[in-house]
Amino acid sequence: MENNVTSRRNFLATGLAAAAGCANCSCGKSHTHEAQDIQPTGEKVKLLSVDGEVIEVDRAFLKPVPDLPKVSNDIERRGIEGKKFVMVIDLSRCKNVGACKEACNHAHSLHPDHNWIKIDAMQDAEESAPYWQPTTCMHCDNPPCVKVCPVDATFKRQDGIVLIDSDRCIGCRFCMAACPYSTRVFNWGDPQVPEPLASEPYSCETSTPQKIGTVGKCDFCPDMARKGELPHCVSACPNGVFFFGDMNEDSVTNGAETFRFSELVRDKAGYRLMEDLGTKPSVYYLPPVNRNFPFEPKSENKEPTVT
Amino acid sequence: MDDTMSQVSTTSADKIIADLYPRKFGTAGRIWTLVLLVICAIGAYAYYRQLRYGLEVTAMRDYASWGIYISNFVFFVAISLVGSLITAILRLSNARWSTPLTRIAEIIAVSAIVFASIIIIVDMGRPERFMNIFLHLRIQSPIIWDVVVISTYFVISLLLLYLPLLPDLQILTTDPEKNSGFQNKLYRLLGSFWRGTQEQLRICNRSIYILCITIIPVAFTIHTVTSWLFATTFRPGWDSTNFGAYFISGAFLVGGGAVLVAMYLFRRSYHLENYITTDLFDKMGKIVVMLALLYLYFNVNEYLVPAFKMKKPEEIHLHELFAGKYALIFWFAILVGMIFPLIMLLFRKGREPFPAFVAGVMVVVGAWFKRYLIVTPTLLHPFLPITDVPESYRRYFPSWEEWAITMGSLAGALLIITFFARLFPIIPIYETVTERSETHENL
Amino acid sequence: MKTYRALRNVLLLICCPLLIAAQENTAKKEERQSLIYLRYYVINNRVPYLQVQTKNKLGRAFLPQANVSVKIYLNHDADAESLMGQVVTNEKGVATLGLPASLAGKWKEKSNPTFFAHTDSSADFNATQEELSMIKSFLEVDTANEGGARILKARLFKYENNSRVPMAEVDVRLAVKRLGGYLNIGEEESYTTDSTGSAQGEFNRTDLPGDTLGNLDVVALVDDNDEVGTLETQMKVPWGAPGKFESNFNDRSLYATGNKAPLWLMVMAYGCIAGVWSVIIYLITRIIKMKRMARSI
Repeated sequence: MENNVTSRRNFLATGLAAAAGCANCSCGKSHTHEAQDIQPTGEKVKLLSVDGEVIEVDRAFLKPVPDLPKVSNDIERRGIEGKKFVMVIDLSRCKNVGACKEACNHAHSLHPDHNWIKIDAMQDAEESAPYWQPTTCMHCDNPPCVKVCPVDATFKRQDGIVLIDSDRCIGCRFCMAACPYSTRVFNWGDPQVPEPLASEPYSCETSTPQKIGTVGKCDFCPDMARKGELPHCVSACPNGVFFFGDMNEDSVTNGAETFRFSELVRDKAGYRLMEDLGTKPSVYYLPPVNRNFPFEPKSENKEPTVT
Repeated sequence: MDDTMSQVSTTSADKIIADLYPRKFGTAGRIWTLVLLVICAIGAYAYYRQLRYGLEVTAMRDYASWGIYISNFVFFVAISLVGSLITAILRLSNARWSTPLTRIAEIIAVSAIVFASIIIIVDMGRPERFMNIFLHLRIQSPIIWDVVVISTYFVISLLLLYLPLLPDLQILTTDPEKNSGFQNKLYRLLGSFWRGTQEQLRICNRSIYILCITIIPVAFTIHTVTSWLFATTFRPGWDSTNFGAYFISGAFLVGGGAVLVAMYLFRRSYHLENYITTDLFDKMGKIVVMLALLYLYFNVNEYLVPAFKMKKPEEIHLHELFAGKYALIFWFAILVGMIFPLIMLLFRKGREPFPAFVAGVMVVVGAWFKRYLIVTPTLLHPFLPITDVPESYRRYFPSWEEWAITMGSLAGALLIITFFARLFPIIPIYETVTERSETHENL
Repeated sequence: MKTYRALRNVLLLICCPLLIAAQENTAKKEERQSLIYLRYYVINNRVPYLQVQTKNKLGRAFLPQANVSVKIYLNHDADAESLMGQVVTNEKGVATLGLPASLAGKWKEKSNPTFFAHTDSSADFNATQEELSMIKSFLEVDTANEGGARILKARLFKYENNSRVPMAEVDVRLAVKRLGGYLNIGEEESYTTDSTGSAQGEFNRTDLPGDTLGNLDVVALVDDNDEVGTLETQMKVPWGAPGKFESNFNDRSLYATGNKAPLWLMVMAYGCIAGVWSVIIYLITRIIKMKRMARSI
């Protein structure tokens, strides 16, 4: 055991994420590990290992959520390299609990009138069965909203996410008219963001704090993705309706279950909304077959609309 | 024609100048101006409230995200097209009879385009960030095309208003006694360099000719691009390849209607019966008939073709227009805005000044509601059901602030026209004099 | 499974209104019960840490409570010498804490350390305590090739008197680390360790995209085990397909940023603008020329 100590200390430079377990195996495979996007703070903390050895760990690498430095607006606009985020929504599992909405509204400190996630009561034809359809921003690959923005306030990133810069938005609402999914909301009045969040600088990745006279919408929580965590709606859903992942990793997860994206969409006949419009959404839906729950309308204004 | 010719023989240049010279407001003029100023002030107060509390003071919400500001904007852009129609198209086609109308048309165009720009700023959630449009310009956005083309059209319209005014300014400055000090200063500032030499005349006429050619494509672009603000989206009622032509034809119609209204009002208030003749109403009436038919044709295209197919997203939209919530406004806009004036103006009696004026008013009012129908119902018929929003988000009826600002903008446009007519001859004096003497010589 | 889920969701459905009602009445409710949850983590056999979660139970609802100060002791409860530290829970009611170097002696005392957590009474939280005993353990991961099959092996040991003893009958997940989750290497959800502490499974995710070289991060994972807590050991293996990260981000397109507008659009738009404005500028020069003429007369 002792002879491993030195080799283990060498890993400190690459941080906690390094595959230290391999120090004990003579497999000779590549042990190097890129230290993701985390920047060391330079502030070391002395901690004990399981063996009782003293190990210096940079504060930035302390688990479970590393302290990420605030990224600049320029980096926020370019997005995370090598990623292509995707969401899969399993309609057979949704029973309109609304936990996704609540978590999202809370995480982004939205105005009480606003919901970035909407749960539509759908019925495709008069004789077909009704079902619940949660909608987020589709983060289209051919985004109609981005095309029409006059000032680059809404933009498409290399990781596929469409975000809004509320410090630049002029409030013309052309993007709202352009979006066929009606996903965008507008801060008509004061967004009623509580302090101290309200006086913090705006971040495109957290979409907070919302600002009066500007547009808001679902942002796929890239700040969470940077930390390796899932968007708030995904982790909040008690029924595992939402799956999130990276198309470049070919996997999606709802936290508890993880699937290969290509297999899931192939086996369950995944589809995207309004494919005919050519918007190329990043959100896939699994059809509401073999449903876990019956459809129960909750209130009068939630009668399914035949669309 | 007989009418005009008989007048020519009895009208000397001095009489023309005396008739067309800008006049002080009478009692009616004062009341009119005061009323307009009050409406503007109420609008300004409403806008102050909007700046203070945000767009929350409007009835617009996430689904009806554009409201009467945008319909009013489209209306203004539409009406501004008349400048190019009367001045450019008729001038280029050598329709000399339109000369008395050119300045009326141009000032309508300029004031409308000014308020189109103002109203679009009013609609912005963050008007203080207007400069972002230039700092972070994104040429892909139809809004940028609109900003560019509106400012271009404004400059061209201003030039087209200004250049023909030069000879008149010389006439106006010949006797400073007749004018107030401010007027003299203004005239000197604008036209002191004008001597009326052959060379100056040649340059001026040539410039006007170039302007007339340039303004036509720019005018077509301004309204086509405005239609693209809608047609570049997917929404039912907007997703149409017909939209540019549909908007332009509608714009010409409302412009024609506005000219009829303005002609009658100027004729009455300034006693211009010898200049804005019944014959002019007859000719303008015929043009409006043609424009109404053209617009009707595009309307049939715009509604019949989708109604024939009844695609699902279009279905609710069209049903609400034809027989639902919007049926009253829809049929009002179609009947009062197009069909009734069309029928009235078909008859010689209907092209008399007063009936033509009534037809013009119908066209203009109908056109305003038509713009409302283009904007609002479509937004309230989204592809996905309206979900998870407060009840107030499901419908749209403008708040008092929106009405006040809209009315204020309309009043403001009328104010510009009113003040212009107070300061400058609303009928070109120089051109009228030369044309009448030419006609006289030809006799 | 289905009935269980249905049952759970019925429960959730009942809880939902209660949860909302509970939130509204926080101030009034006297029967608040404050709870501390402790979880023990070791990632890559390195520094162990505790995750502390504070929740209030109001009626049937469990609500995370933020801003609670929690004191944690190692082995000797309420002994100032054994204080691991004091943490304040974040907005999700969670805080984490590692073992400070000063406790090296205390840590080496026992192979099954006990953690004691305490809170003081406050407006938001009651005075309460919780303890957690864990066995010091070691999770090892390795690969093997058995007849062409790619095998991932995990071995679990516990420390007894400074020596490692294999642990049997513990469920270990073998998976590939993905964004926000773990993709199982095969069909099996988990594998149970045998008497040698080993568990192994075959990797059969063909062409699973890895990094640009085709490397994957595979992990052995013990999830919230009663004896050893949560253990995760990672390793990089070249079993994936080289990832292709294509992006049209830098291409010119209608949805790109303003500086990446399509050339055809720029030519058309700026061409039109230049054309019309050169006419306007020409006309303005004409006006200036007319002014000059006036001067020369």
